[in-house]
Amino acid sequence: MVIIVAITAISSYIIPNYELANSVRIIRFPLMLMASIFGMVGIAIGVLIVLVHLISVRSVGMDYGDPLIPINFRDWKDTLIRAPIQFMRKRPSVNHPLQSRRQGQGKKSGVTNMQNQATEQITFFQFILLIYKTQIGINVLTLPRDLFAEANTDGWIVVILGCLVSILLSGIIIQIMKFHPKQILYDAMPKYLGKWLGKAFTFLWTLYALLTATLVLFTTIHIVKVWILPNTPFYLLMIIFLIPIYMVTKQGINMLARYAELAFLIAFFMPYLLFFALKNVEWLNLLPVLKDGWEPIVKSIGLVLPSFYGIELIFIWYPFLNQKQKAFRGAIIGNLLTMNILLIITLISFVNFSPMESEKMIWPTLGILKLIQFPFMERLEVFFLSFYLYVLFATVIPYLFTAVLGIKRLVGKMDTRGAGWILWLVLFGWVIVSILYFPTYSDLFQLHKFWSEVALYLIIGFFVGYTLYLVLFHWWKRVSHR
Amino acid sequence: MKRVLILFVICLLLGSTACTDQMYLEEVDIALILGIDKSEEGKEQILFVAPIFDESVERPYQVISIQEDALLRNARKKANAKAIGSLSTRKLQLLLLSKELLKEKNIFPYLDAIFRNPKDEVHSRVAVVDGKVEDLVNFNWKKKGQPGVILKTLLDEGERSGVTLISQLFRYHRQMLDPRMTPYLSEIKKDEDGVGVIGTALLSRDGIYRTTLDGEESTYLVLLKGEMKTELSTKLRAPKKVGGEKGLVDLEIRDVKNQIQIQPKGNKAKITIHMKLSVDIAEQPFYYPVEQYSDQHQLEKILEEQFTREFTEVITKFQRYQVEPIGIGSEVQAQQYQWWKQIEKDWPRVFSRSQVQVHPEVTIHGFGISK
Repeated sequence: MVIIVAITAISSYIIPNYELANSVRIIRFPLMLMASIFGMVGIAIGVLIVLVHLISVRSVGMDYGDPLIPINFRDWKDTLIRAPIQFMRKRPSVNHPLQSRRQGQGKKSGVTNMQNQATEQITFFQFILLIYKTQIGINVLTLPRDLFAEANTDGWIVVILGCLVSILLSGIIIQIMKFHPKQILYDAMPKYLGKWLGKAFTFLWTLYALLTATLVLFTTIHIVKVWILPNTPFYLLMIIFLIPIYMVTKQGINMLARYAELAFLIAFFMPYLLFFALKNVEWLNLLPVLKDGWEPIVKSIGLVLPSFYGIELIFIWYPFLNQKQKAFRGAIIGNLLTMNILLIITLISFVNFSPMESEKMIWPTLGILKLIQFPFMERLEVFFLSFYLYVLFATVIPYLFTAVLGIKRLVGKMDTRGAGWILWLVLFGWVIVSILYFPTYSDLFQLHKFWSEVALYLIIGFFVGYTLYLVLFHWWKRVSHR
Repeated sequence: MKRVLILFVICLLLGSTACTDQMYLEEVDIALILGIDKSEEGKEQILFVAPIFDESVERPYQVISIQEDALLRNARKKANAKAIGSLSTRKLQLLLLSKELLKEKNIFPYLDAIFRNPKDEVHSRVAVVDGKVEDLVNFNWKKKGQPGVILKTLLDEGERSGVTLISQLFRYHRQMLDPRMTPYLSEIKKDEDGVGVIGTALLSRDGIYRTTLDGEESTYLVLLKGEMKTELSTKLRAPKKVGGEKGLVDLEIRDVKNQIQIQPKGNKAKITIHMKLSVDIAEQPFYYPVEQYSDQHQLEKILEEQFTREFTEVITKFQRYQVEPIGIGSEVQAQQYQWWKQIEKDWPRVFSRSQVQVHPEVTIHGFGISK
């Protein structure tokens, strides 16, 4: 604590602005309190709350976090490091200048804030990151073990195949959404399926989204308890985790996308930390490729698919996407980014652990981090896991948002905001459950198994069936019109 | 509504500020060494060595000895009662296992508590002690400092000079759970002169002590594994007609590359190791003129013959004790997977039956600054 306070004090000298220094000084106290109660996790959550606030506020009609969040790569050259003057011919696009060249010969001058209202729209890049960050979740921590048990060290091939299946599925979902590009699935279903059937499916999807969010959140707390804070009560962790989750979810789809960007920027380096574990590894573990033929590989595709779930939420995001013609491209890029991470993790853990060891580990990815030793830092996995929470929340939040929208439809509200008593109800429900009931490892394991089966049937079954139905429906309409 | 909620949350948080995950350094005894030895009546003797941060004491560490037969956690509980503060094994530097104990039983299941707890250190060095562990930790270190620190440095330096191969806890775990090789640990001994690293202890597949490699043999094991971390020095005996009576050469080995070929034949195999060695001549007390390429080739030939002899001796030793610390099993799995599936469970014995040949190919890169 003394060290942290000392570092903070020294770091405060780099703030050039006096007013800013004052507010930072005030923020420091609650952060210190968090740190003393929850340690590293407290710092991570405290910082997250501040960051989420910063990216959600707008100042004089402009986003406070611009151009970092929402990401605007073109304006980055004058953000962290100032680029040489010859690269800065253009005005920052945040201001929506009438004339983009600085000091140019054009007649118009000045800026406009005309298009700069808060909108319920997400950009192409945000769409990619939403998919990518929703997919990366708790499965990343356990996947290598599951894959090893089924497909031995050929598991990495399964990841690639799983990615292809996932891309195919997202293609189907986007095709469905093209039938009703302006409406989220909840609103479109009653139109095509009739009121009651539509409501029934809305109910099903809501339940599924709620189950997913609950599963990820409870597993996250369980992992934090096992690895970092074994003696801290379950409900306390739940409460502090729910604060940033609430702050994001209540503001709707635009904020969700920004949060995905935040998680992306902060967690960008994390998978690459694992490369430090490549010091003494047995590359021969991977040979021979296709050890036992294709059969176990094809069989275990079902195991890797849950790591790609998140694509089904496209049915919520698609109507908000501002460049709809690029949706499929976005889905492909998102899936490939996820595949990249999963490949890194599976390959590194296969070359690190010996065969029987791989089966014994519950969380192999954290096991790898335990092997990495820096001279200035011990227990790297604590640091990693604390900040990995940002990524895990990025999975919880979209599912929570989907569930909230679903409940809204069921009680007859048609808006697409997250805020309201329904969100509070869900959050309160979680807190109450976490006070009354403490899930064991086996509970979560069984729930996860149940969830992945349900998800498999729901996602593949529903979307394939629904596509066929829609095609038939439109065909029937055309025929009957003639 | 909002304010009430925030107050509610703050109240909940304040109620928990007496948090149980905090640890005060002043109240903790940090065990640097964990020793496990044999004691009478089939029980084990567990030793914890923890530093005492006080300048006035004569011996800056305490040794806590416990008689316990089954579980490490239970031993720690008992030791906690004897220790000044609460005993923590999170910063464990060394794990000392006595040879007598390892001859009788596999100690691996006993260490489960450490592997199961995410907070315990997995980088602590595991070493076999020739003699009593108690004598070693109670050795009069004479103001040299903490035994945990001294012994760790000793082992690390031993590995750097190729006298021993260190297994950290995580590596011991890996080796015990890998059917493709047998585990090895470094070995220390205390005698009249002091404490020193004597070599590498080799364990069988089920974790029982089999034999010890001395310093030279350990270097050969490193070369056979092809996993050099730093340059190694090794001595070779030159034939009499070249080097005379005391014809020893000392080589600085810069690089080694192995290529292993496996030809399975029923329940044994023909294993050929092609080894490319780049060496510098570091010490050569006799005169050997190198004028032309042919002279150098001659010298390389001589060295190769000597290397072959030494490697064959080491491998024969492995085969006699049915150990395979080299890890050829990984190559077998990679090259002959179908055959490997049949012999997987019995690999060390298959290895001991097999015909192993080493073909070193020496390239002399430098002679230093004198001919």
